Amino acid sequence: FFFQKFEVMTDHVVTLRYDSGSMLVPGDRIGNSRHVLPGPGTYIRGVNVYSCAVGKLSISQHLLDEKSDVERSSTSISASVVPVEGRTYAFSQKVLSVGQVVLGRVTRINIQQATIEIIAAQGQGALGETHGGTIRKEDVRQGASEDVEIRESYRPGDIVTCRIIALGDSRRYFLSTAENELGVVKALCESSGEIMTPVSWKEMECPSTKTRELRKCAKPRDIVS
Amino acid sequence: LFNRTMSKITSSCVPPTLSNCYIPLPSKQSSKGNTSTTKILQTSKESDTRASFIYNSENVADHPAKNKRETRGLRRIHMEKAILTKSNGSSIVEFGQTKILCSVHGPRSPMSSSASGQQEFHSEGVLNVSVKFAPNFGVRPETVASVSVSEASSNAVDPRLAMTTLATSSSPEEVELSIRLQSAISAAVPLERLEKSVIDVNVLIIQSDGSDLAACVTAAILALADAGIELYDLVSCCSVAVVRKRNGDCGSGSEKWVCLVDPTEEEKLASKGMVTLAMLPNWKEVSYWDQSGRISKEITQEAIELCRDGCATMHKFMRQCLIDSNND
Repeated sequence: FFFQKFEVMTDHVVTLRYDSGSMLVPGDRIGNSRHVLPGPGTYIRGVNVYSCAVGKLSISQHLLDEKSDVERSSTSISASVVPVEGRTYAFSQKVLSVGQVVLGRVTRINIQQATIEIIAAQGQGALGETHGGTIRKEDVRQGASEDVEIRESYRPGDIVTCRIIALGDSRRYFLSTAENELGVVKALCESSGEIMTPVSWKEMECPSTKTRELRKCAKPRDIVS
Repeated sequence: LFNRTMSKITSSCVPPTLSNCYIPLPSKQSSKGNTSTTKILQTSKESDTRASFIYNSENVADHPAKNKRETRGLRRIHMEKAILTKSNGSSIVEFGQTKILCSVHGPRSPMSSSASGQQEFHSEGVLNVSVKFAPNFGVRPETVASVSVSEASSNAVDPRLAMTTLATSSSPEEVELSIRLQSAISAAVPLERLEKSVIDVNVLIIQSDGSDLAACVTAAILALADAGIELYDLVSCCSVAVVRKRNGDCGSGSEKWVCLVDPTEEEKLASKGMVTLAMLPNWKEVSYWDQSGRISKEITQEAIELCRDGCATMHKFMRQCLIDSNND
């Protein structure tokens, strides 16, 4: 729609079928997509925004950027359906997608790949059921993959952060640690069994025995309180 | 059975009010959706009740409860969700004497689901639907015997043998119900957002007394909503049976047929044909539609309209159930 005139904010009043805070079920039509932006828990079909979850409607004001070709500045409403307390909703939170950062545990290594058990995902917390994942030799770090040794990057039992790069097949996702922030987060020393601290991107040191072991380490992040 | 089609129904006459519908009476089990509509509304012009269509006059007196139900009246509805603690979602639905229990697991990885083949990779999500009759008491032996005459298992004319085959493997009727249920629900589940995931829907028919598919659809959708799976819309489903009027009763003998909504088992067996319709009420689209038996075009049209009214009513009850149980 091309608005001919400049609509002032205060003149533009949008009335919705449902009040903010009312309970909605999937399929309830919230409003026209011209006025309502779809937030989490809603979807657009045709010209309308519908709810797709069971929950309370929450509405927030949203100021559109002025576009150069369309002269309009109007408040738009962003609607989302928020599930009630105590229920974990929305498979959009439960399903792993490509590009998501996950936390996994190394279960097996061989010359070409490391097998990971995905135990948690960013934004979802700990998963109810673990998924399988694989880090191939060429995805361990950026750069050439011929001189990468899996044994010098991971060991079984390590906890790694990695990113999903492909859906893979029914048994596993394909993962990658080819970024500075991804890699081994926690590893135990072989001799003393203590948690090692990263020294550089490729070495970890045991605090008691002072031995160094080779790993592809993740860049340490400050703990956010 | 005719093939189901996706079609748009023009919304010219979907009634917003529940005229001529039998509203379920409030019971101690808090039947849902009837806080404001507890009275039985006006009876229709023809005050013949259903029982008079089905039974002989001497039997009508033996079934006093059935006398009160109008041709456009639904049976007593009871819906509950979140009754199983170990499932992601669950529901129990009763239409009169038909009782259905549904449990939903998902979305989860194909490895942990026993129902899907472990070697397959699905880029979209997969909806596994399985309907089972409760062994030995879910369905009456006479019904099983009457259905399974054309199959190779026609040795199951003996009712007792039929019941044992039900207990061990999926009978043809269960398989057929599963397929129909899957096609009715899958229009409402956005599978393209569920990469590589599997949703298992398991339906148990505790007692079957007509309107099986309608109750299964209702139970499955409530359980899916209870599991937190985002749905495009709630699917509501309704069945209508077409029954011949007895000649002695009707004053104007022009119409021989009458449509009964939400038929019981007896009505289904006595009917000439049945129409089942499952639709997405907010989109005003049909997701499953079938017709069995042999009925004329005009009466089919009437039956479909009655189904649509029934679906609209059912949608109100489902909505009420979801909202009420969340407010608790």
